Amino acid sequence: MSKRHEMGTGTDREWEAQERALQEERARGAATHPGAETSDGALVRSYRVLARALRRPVQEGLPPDFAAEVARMARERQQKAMRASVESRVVRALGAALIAAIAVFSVMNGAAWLSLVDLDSTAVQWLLTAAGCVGLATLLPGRARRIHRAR
Amino acid sequence: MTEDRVLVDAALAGEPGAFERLVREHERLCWHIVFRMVRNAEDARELCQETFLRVHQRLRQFRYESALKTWIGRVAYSIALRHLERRRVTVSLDDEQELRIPDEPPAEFDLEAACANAQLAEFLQGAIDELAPVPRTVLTLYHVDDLSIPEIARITGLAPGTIKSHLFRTRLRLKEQLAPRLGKLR
Repeated sequence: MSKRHEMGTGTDREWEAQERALQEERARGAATHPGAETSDGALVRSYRVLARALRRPVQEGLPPDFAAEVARMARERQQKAMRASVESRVVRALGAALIAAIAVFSVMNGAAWLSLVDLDSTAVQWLLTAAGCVGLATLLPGRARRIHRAR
Repeated sequence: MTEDRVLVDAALAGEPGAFERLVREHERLCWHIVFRMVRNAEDARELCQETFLRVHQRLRQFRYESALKTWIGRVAYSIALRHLERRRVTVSLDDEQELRIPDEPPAEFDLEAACANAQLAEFLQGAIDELAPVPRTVLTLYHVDDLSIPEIARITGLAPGTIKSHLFRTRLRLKEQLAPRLGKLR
């Protein structure tokens, strides 16, 4: 008999003993009288000592009101998320209204305003350049992210 | 599965007490997974809370492809695993020790006397606590929660063969540690 085969047989025997010990301990737990469905094999019995130790309840650590407390926290988080979502929609709507108002006033009074500004002055040119830089810095990262996501 | 659907639908519809019932039904399994992984009661309580808050947040994503307890177990396991990784606890799955099946027959002893022996019980609990997080959790799920190997595989994301190997090797090693003490009980 090869060593590999011997190893395989030994492994199978151990596995069967482990499983049988577990089944016998489960049956013992379910039986009305202890000692039901017992096995005489010393190997199975040593695994039964182990199986019984493993079946001892794990130290309980959750407080009795854990479920109620978690449910309350989950509800609060959900309500907070809903409030945040409503607030963000209102802010976006107000922002859009402001931009629309500026656009309307610009169309209505833009020509009059432009006539008051001396476009050839250095100060105005610097101001326009700065506004352009701020505009690009605001718009470009968002656009880059969208392109990256689309890829 | 029908019970899962009723409970999930009720929780999603915001029925009073439904999510609390869902937590109560699965908190024991969650505790077993998380506590066996992290071994610190304070951390385990926080992680169980985080587990159920995430379950609440993602309940709409539950597709009934597995039992609800398996899905919740998977969330708990992932959270505990990430906690250990953050704490830089090595969660090695490799079993480097060579497997040796003993040739000699086990000692004769009285089963009931051995199980009732307080010192032996304490020794075994210590040996179980000393196990690596994953084998310790796998043993608990198999022996205490009576989950099957495929269910444990779904929770841990490990192959069923790996689960079987963890069970076999861990139990063999614990039995080997136990053997000299059982011999003294004769």
